[in-house]
Amino acid sequence: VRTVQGDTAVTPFGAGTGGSRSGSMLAGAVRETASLLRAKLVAIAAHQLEASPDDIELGESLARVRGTPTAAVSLARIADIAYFKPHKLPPGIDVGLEASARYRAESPTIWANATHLCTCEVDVTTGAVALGRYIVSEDCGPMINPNVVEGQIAGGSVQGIGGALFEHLAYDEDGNPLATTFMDYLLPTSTDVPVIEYGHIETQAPGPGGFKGVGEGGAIGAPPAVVNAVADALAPLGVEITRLPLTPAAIVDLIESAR
Amino acid sequence: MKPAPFDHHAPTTAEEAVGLLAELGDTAKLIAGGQSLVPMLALRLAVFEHLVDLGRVEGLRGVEHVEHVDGVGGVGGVGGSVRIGAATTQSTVERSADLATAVPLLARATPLIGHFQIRNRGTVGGSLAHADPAAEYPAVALALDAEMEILSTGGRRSVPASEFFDGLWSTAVGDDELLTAVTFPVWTGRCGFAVREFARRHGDFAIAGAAVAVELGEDDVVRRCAVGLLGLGPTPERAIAAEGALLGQEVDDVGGVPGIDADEIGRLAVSTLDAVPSDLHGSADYRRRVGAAMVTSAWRAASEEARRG
Repeated sequence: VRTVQGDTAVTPFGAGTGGSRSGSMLAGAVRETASLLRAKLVAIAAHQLEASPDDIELGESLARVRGTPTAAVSLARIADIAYFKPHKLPPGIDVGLEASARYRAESPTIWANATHLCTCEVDVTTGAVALGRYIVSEDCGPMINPNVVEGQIAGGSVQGIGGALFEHLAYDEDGNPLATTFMDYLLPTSTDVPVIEYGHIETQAPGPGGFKGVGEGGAIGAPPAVVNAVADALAPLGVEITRLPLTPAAIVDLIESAR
Repeated sequence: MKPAPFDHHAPTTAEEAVGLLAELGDTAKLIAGGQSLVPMLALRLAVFEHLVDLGRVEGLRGVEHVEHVDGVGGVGGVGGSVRIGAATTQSTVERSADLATAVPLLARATPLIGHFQIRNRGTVGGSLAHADPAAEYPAVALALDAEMEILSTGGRRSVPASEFFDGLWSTAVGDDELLTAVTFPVWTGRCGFAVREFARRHGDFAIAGAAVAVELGEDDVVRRCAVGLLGLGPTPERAIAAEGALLGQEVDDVGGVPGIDADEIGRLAVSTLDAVPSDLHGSADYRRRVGAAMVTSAWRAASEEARRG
């Protein structure tokens, strides 16, 4: 198997990924395209087997006439006809077995959901935040690949934690960037994030397969969860969180100004 | 980014290395593990025409005990000292059961240096000669009154840690000189040692930290005390005021001495600092606050260990 990623020379024109739409849009496009190809397979098989297209069923690499198991033609044979024996094609069917289609969703929006919950401890002397448990429960509809779903959630959550606690594009008064290397622009590493626990809920989306997006259920939920956890921890001190990232020095500032 | 072009020299003896330095002058730089120098070269914060690589100088590696009949440090009798070759790697120190017993403060500071990959390459002498004020070994060397051995074509000399660190990334080692070894006194008796530091993430340079060594008499009175500070000035610092307040005082079970609790000891330790740095990760006041907390924590742990001893 050879996979090609992100090469516009081999993909149809499109607007790219974004807005957690790839899963649901691709599912729709795959269904539309596969339906076209299926219709063609069925038409060639029906013509070959002298049966009605309505009676053709596909399975086990065969096209069969329903109720007559011996009347069958292999998909390989159908492909052979489609490409090399055009005289055996039914009238009105083009040569080849290729199809391309686009999908227009019936529903203009499909909502995916995720809820983040985390616990934290804040050291009021140093301002350090230690995250405790971190749980994400999400609903992306049926999971096409659970590993990809959890990978997306983990990556997004860590990025969100980074935004809440670490990543800071600071500038000095003259507009010079202060964080010019990864020594100063801090990304969370494996030692800075807790083990992420997952919960999966499946409700069907209105589109094909019931699939929803999952890309945004990580990065969007993490900052408010982390910030709210820190705010809750510091509430007894009267601290109101007003800025990001919550660096240790910023937390100490907030504590001191709340006194 | 990539470093500017340089010529690479690979001497096999310390004498050959200082001979190259004498010949090449300030266009040459010594490189040991390269864990600080290489990033600086790559970012072109430093540019040298010649690098004199110490990687093949076997004589600069190793750890040896030196017995002193009169007892270095003057307390506890037969302590002696430990001499560590400058090109000994930090991971060698980390794995040495011998050093964990002889110089616990050094051993305990070691896991806090960067990440293990860095410690596999980084050397004891490299860390001391680079003299980053936030680094661990300079603060430990200063706290323990280590002695630095320095070689040039003109001969050998010895410099105490208190005179070694003379500015930001600057030491008593001249352009034509090579730090060959460092000698740490071995503390004996009822001793306790602790290093604490605070960094944004695991392995980052510390915002502030403290290395504390203490020796108590049988009556829990502080007989010897050393507090080294890191990240709190252009050089590592000694917390002289805190040391003075502790010396000769009886320590209680929560790290306090009469009239001064452990928190106050932390505050005292940072009270005399006058050049605390300020940067993206924290103001001078913030570093001072963190430094005080690190001193308090390290002092509590060290004094508790000494009381158990």
